[in-house]
Amino acid sequence: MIQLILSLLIGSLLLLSVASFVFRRRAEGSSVDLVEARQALNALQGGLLPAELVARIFDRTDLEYVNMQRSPEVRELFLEERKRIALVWVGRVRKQITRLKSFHLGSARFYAGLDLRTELSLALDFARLLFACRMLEVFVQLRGPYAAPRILGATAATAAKVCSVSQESLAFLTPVYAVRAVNGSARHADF
Amino acid sequence: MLSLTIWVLGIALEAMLLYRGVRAGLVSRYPNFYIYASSLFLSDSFLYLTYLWKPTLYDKWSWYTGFLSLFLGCGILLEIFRHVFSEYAGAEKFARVCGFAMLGAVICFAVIYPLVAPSSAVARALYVRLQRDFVAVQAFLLLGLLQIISYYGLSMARNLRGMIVGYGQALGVTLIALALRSYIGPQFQSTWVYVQPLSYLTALVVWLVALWSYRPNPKPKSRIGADGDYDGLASRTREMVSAASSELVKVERL
Repeated sequence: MIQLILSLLIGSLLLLSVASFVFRRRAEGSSVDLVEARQALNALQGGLLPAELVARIFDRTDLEYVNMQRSPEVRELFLEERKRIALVWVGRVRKQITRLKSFHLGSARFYAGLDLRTELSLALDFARLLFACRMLEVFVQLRGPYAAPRILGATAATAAKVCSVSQESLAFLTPVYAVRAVNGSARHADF
Repeated sequence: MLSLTIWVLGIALEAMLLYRGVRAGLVSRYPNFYIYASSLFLSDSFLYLTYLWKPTLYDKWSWYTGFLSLFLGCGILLEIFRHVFSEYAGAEKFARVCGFAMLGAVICFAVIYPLVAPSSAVARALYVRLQRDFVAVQAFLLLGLLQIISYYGLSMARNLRGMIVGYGQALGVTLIALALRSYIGPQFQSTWVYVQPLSYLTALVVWLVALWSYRPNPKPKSRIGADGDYDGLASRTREMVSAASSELVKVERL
């Protein structure tokens, strides 16, 4: 019976993998990835993560102001809109983290010195991080944007840390010739 | 009658596949795949003729040719290693380590068992059981390779995609059908007679379309970083992930 279940499981998984392989989006590990990773960082740092923006979206004073108007319709509409904004925000943070993950994989696959254990543990870490982001989405969906303001604030802080380390990673991966070009032009300017 | 028609159709498709392989110069590019395709064509043609003229001989030989085809089917997996992973040293290393362990198991099943089998009757008995185990190991290996290809986003052209899709669906369907046949018993035989050959015909059609002409794999446009920089990349990514994870653990506790 166990053998039957195992065979059915492996067979079904293989068929599903083949189907997803047929319809998969092609990913290229090239300069396109580098540009996308840079865009992801810019989006996270410039558009999604600034503390002021997060604080403004989830600021309770807005809710208190709406509550003072004593109109249930307005309050409901306000909460609905804020919830939508919160979900869009968390979703976009998750998407940008996914892009950074793709960037790491797109780079790592070329390295002959790739370490199997490191890659496996990184894969696990990425999966855990993305799962946590997904959980936050569920939490906001179920309990609304004001149910856990500290969670959202901490998520922003987390993603900000991710950004700063990613930026180091991207700087580290910037082609040497680009640095040389910048240095060269500086030297010309000195003369 | 229908099963005989499927059989003849299969031989015709195999012949067409080999013809196109020679015409399009694919045989030299994918030798392992065409060795497998040739073995299928030769064994099917030989078995068809013996089935018509000497059914007793067919009974004896079909098990051995079955073993041979199962073993040579690994050629497709070798082509994946040769062509898909050749441009990606990191992914290739990952796949190689996983693949060696599984290939060891495949070779044990394919070579050692038939050699120690004392007669064709034993080979027949073993074949039914081993076919399922052998297909399961191959399916498991292909499943692992597909996950690595998908995880690292490796790109490939129509030729190799077709090989993988055709072989993958045939392996998956065969594995499920074999498991059900051994569990349900003779009642499943009538379904088995059609399911397995139809899945094989589908694989042949996919291969014929995908391998009609040569399509080289796309070369990666540029390489980021140097070979010795992996540790730096991994440690920076690890810092990023661990920082994010520790913060999220705190978040979950809030």
